[in-house]
Amino acid sequence: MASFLQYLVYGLQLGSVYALLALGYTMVYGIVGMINTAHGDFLMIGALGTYFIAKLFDSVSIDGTYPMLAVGCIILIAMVMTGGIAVGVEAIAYRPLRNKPRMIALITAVGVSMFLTNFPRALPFIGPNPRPFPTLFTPKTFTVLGASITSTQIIMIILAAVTMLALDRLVAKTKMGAQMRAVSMDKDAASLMGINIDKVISITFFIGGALAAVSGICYASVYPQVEVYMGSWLGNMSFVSAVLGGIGDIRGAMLGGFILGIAQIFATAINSTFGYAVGFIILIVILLVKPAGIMGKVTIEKV
Amino acid sequence: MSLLEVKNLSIQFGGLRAVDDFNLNLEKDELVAIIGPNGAGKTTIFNMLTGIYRPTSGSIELEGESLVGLKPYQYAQRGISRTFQNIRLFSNASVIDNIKMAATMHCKDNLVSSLVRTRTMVKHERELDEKAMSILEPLSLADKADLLAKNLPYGDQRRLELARALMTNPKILLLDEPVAGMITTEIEEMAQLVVRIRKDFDLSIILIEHHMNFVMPIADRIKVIDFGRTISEGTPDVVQKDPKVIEAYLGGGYQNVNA
Repeated sequence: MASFLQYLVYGLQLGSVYALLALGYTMVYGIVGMINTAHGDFLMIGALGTYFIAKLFDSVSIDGTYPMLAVGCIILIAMVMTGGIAVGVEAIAYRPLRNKPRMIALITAVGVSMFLTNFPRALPFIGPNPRPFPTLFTPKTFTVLGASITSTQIIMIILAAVTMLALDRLVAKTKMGAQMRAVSMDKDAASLMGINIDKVISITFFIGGALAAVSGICYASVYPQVEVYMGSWLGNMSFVSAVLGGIGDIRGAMLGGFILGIAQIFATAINSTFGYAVGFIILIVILLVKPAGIMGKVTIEKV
Repeated sequence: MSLLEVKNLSIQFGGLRAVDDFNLNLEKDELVAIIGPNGAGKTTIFNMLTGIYRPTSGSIELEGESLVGLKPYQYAQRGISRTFQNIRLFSNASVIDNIKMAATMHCKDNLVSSLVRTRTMVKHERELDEKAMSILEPLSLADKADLLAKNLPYGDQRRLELARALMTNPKILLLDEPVAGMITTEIEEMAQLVVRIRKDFDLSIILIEHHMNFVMPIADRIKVIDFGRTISEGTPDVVQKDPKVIEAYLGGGYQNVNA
């Protein structure tokens, strides 16, 4: 029982990373209609960026830990920076292709992903080597029914859930959300209703990038090592989460993230190499059984 | 000064001059119809008047302000709204959401007030709902407000497009073939509807249409376009009798047959 609970905690911890990343993935798909395969690299930029930003704050750290205010600043800067890079990527790489067939945007996204991985790798001050992630949070450990859970894990899980609720409300209840829904359904008609689609899409990418940064910080806080390749695997897993939950659906993305995280941890507990395969097994099964995902609506094409 | 002044508007796609030297002065409360055979360049004119295409040359001025080079959403914000020949609704949204989405540019509530639902924001939302219903009512869509747009019958979808365009508070309404695919009785209803909303919403209207029996009774002026050029213009009576118009519509042999 205790070990079951312990695995569940780890599963939720990993799931919250997937969920935060999948939220951005699914929003970009839902609103812009493209699979941004470079989304995982935004996570890497956020995590690696945090490493460098934390270095700038070195002078205020005491024995390798940072005061709360500094941690807040570091995270905020990392979010704004990653969000800004996401907006830049959209403006440079995706915007000119917006009215082209989807496949072209998808291939471009693969190229962007390769660029975002390999460009920092080629930079002399970044390079390919993994680096230790600074300790932003000093976790307190609690024991519940024999399983230990840290304050960092609790924060991560709550953060993912709160973010999902906030985004859901944003899309359903605000002016920006209404504009997002309009853009997702018909970009041209939306622009003729006075909606600045470039702005709406930029904001979408900004939110996605900023959440990817948070996701990267969460991931690196529990697996404290950052490198330029870390985005690709996590990006794939968050894509699986988004598809599992029903791509384009915000609640589905979080649900998918948590299911995948838990499944992966339990599979790893059974066999350490099997854990990595489980994501793709789930993807294949969901595509065969319910291609629209758990929350997705089946659309019947009228002929 | 006219409400809308369009001068020497031309657009070239490669070697094709799709619209050549189009001029239009639209006065306030006027209804001008643009007619012409298929492929004459009518919808292209609308696309230039809404910022979708940028004209190769010429000017578009709304109340003295030049609009050429602005983005489509800026045209809409300045008060030009349109419907589409092939219906372009937000098909997966409900009827009421469709038209509320068209009002977002006039919404002044910020993110925070919307997320926490402040009292003023809730009040604004209620006003918006009331305005939406006041537009749906005369278009006999009020009882269908919660249906998904894609599930509406064709005639209702056409009227919903009209409602959505009205919700943007336009000064000028552009109607692109509002009765395409409709039967005679529906065409008559739509003509009455256009007359009514023109009066109720104090609108200036430009419309494109093939159906002469729809256009003739409601238009103040008609411009006839063929191969991108204006071949005739004037009141419906004048245009109807213009031999150039008859030739464009029925072919050059028509007069010989008559004679």
